[in-house]
Amino acid sequence: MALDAFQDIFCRMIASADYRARLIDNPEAEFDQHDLDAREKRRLTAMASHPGMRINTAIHRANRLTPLDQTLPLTCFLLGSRLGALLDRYWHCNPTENLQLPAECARFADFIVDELQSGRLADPFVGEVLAFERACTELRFFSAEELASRTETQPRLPAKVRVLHFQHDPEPLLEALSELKPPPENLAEGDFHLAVDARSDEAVFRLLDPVAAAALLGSRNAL
Amino acid sequence: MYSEQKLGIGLLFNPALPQFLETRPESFDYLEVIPDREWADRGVHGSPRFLLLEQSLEFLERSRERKPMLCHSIGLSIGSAAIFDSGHVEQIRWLHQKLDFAWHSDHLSFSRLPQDLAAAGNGPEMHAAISLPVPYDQQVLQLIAERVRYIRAVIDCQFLLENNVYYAAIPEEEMSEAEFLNRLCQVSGCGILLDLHNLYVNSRNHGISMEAFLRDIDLRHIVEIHVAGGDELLGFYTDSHAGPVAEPVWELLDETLRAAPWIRAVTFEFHESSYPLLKTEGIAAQLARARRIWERHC
Ligand SMILES: [Fe+2]
Repeated sequence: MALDAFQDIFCRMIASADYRARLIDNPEAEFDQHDLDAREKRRLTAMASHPGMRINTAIHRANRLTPLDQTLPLTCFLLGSRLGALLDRYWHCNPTENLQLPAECARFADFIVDELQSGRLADPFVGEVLAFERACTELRFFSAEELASRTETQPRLPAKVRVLHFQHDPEPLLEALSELKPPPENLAEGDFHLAVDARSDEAVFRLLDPVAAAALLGSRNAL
Repeated sequence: MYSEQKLGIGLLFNPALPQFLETRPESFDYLEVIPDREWADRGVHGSPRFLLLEQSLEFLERSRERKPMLCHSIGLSIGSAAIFDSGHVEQIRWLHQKLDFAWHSDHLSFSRLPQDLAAAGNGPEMHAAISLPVPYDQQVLQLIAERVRYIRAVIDCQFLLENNVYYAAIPEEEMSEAEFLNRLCQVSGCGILLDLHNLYVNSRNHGISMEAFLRDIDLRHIVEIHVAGGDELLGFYTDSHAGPVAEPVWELLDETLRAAPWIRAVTFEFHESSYPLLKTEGIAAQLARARRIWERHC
């Protein structure tokens, strides 16, 4: 009897409807790879076809969305009706989950960046909003020492400060998204720099003028 | 021996509640908290593993000065065959030292597994993202009883396990749920957190008899009760904690407290997304209704 193998298959059937369909079609092909006794095989076969498995999958998906919604809410809102298909693809590529907020945020952010770079996803705002929310999540969940040791940290800034580059005026953009409104029309375009300073409990956001941005990115002690 | 003191009517803490707790302190006797929401757990190999969410924790410390507190963890996954997380138990012990919980509970279920079975406890984990049932078999009973004894040795307060919801039934179980819980309490020394809504959910979805469960469960082991609501999804009734307590659960609460007046606490659970529906008065009304039933019997 192998309770661990039983639990592994039970869990994979919930995470992937394709896997469950394969198990229904040809259970022995999957069972042969595991140390399962006859009762466990009968149990898994019956559970694979149980109508309640659809609910398990629906709850699993809702719960997988939670860490993304908590860390990247504006990005999720911006993606709107495209989010469902993107999540299908993301979860298909990443069938397992650890639900740890910063890790899950980073993994989904990498996926979206890849979608943007490959041209499968086209959106003028998603890239910069995603980078902003990802930075806020990292500043929130990692200590100054950990941030300082990361290669992607901006080397001339304190570890708990990031300067994010936007191609649209970030203040009206982020304000609209926070109120669940689409980006305003006629948003000013150009090079904008938003400083996120998380050195105290509440993060402070400040839009920098070009001179200040150049000075900040050029001097560690300027803030 | 642990205290037998009754606590009364309480609330499961969620992020929508701080204002309610400040403005309506007379409506509840204690607060139940989910410790796993007080830190970001960066995994067994994270260093440091637990990153504390300082503001939330400070709020709970202030709340603890005014009301007793219960700990209701969700991260233990006590039924996982391949994982037992002593680091999580240590972290609960640390929080217990800070907040002095009247008792600690978790769920009779599993949710965490190794990504690669061969690597077991040493490799990365995956999370089922749902609390899943364990088979009510003798082998599982022994596994969980051993872990309960470990937890009780590490954390110096009473430990309870909560009856779970399930959507896909596990066939050919060796014991009924009530029998499993009774025997687990006998051999491990844990108590029962009886979630009456979970019982109702299972009865709605699988036709199990709530009367038979309440007849067969050893009521002497029940320390705390959960009451909650749910909603429909794809033809099933789910344990979503949406809105007010489901009406049949109030009847179950009345029957259970009449039969077991020694039960020490009744906790109302709702999901924070239901706050706009319930609002302050709605929450207060749920607590007041629980209190009327409590005062009739306890
Ligand atoms: Fe519960």
